[in-house]
Parts: sequence; structure tokens; C-alpha cells
Amino acid sequence: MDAIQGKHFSITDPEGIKTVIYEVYKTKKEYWDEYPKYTVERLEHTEEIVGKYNKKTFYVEDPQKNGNQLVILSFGQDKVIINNGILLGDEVKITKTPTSFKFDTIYSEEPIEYKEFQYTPNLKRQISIIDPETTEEIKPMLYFDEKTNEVKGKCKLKPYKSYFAFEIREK
Amino acid sequence: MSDKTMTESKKYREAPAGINDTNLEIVGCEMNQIFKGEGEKATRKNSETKAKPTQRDMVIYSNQLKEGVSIPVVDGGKPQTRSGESR
Repeated sequence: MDAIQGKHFSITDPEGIKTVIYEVYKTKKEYWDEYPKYTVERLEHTEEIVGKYNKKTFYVEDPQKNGNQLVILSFGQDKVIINNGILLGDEVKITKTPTSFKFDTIYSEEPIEYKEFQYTPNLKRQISIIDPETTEEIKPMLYFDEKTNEVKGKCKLKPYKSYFAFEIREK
Repeated sequence: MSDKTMTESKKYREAPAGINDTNLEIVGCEMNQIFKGEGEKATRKNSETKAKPTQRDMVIYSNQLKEGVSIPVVDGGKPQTRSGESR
């Protein structure tokens, strides 16, 4: 069995909590005028049931010397806990949480299409929408905007259901 | 991910955001109850031990994550499986 170069770490979820982790990427400077400066990508993971607990092992494919910034989302009953982390060397350090949050309520009694995401040419985006019950990402529908000449995406959301959306941007 | 997609994927990336990118903010969506900050205080014990990178057998629970906690990291990416093998 061949292992991909990289690193991994484990977090154990108690019953009723599901954790997912995103890595924050920086777009190359020459593309900042056109594309999102930061994008997010979910880390791959494996799971192991240990009694009532779910041990999740997360894999970072490209550990960097100056660290990899991570966003740790733990979904529970009607709430989500957000932690920032930096993978540096042989540890992930939980850092000070962001001091500013902005919230948009994504809840509707009718089906809606949420936001036009802007993509980088390699189809990475700065926004992710998650079903808090399953923690699965809501995959956007891609389309080509002829007016702006861009590939964009929209998420179709079901009525009477809450969604969690987070977006990375500079303060 | 194919080699071509992998190459394309890396073309526009400078690098994963690191410790110098601390001016980022997360814009979140309100659910029925948003728990900001440091995690479920109700489940914490005052005598909890902090995770140490050298204690690789220590279990890190997601509801105990807070500023200052360290999660040990080990080398090795996600194992690939040959077809027919289950994991």
C-alpha cells in the first residue's frame, strides 16, 4: 500500500457531534483582481468507531513550513462550534478565534438559490455551504455567466431547513 | 484526482494560508443557536489536561477544543487502497 506524502491527526467526536475541517488556501497574487483571494477545501478523513465515539483522522496533503491554516467545524444539535487551527510541525495548535462574525440566516419556507459563488480557474471557492445534519457540502450548480465571462455557482437549498455557510475573506 | 486536475489545481495556488494570514474572518450563517468562541464550556472540567504533542496516544475530543489546545500530528498521508481491498 503506497502512502501519499503528508501528515495526519485525529479528533474524536462524542455522540451527537460531527466534526469537519477545512484548509484555507491563498490564491496567487497575480490573480487577486479576478478571483477570490482565499479559498477553502475540505480535508479528507477516515473514521473509526470506538465505542460510542467516532475517531476521525484528517489528512493534510501539503504541509507547509510556515503552517497550514485550518477551520474546524463541529456540528451538534442546533449549533456549530468553530475553531481556528494552525498545523505547524508536529502539532495543530488551536488559535484565537476570529473576533468578528457576520451571520446570514439561510432558512426559507420556499426553495431558494443561494448566492453566486465566484470560482478560481481550478474551481476552488471561498464559500462553503453545509447541511448541518449530515455535514455534507451542498454542491453548487455551475454555470457560465456570459456578461462577466466567469464560471459561477449557485446552491439550491430546500425549504424549512437550516444551512450553515461560511466564507473566508480578509477583515 | 487525476494528474492533470492535480496540476491545474496547484497552478493558481500560492500556498496554503498559514500563520501570517491571521487577518482573515469567517462569515458564518446563523443556525438556531450559534455557539461562539471556545467550545462547550458546560462539558469542560477545571482539571482538564492540555494536549501535549509528545503524547501521541492522547485522545483529543472535539468538544474540548479551545485556544491553546494542541493536537499531535504525525507523518503520513491518507493511505491508498488497491482495488478489492476494504479499509
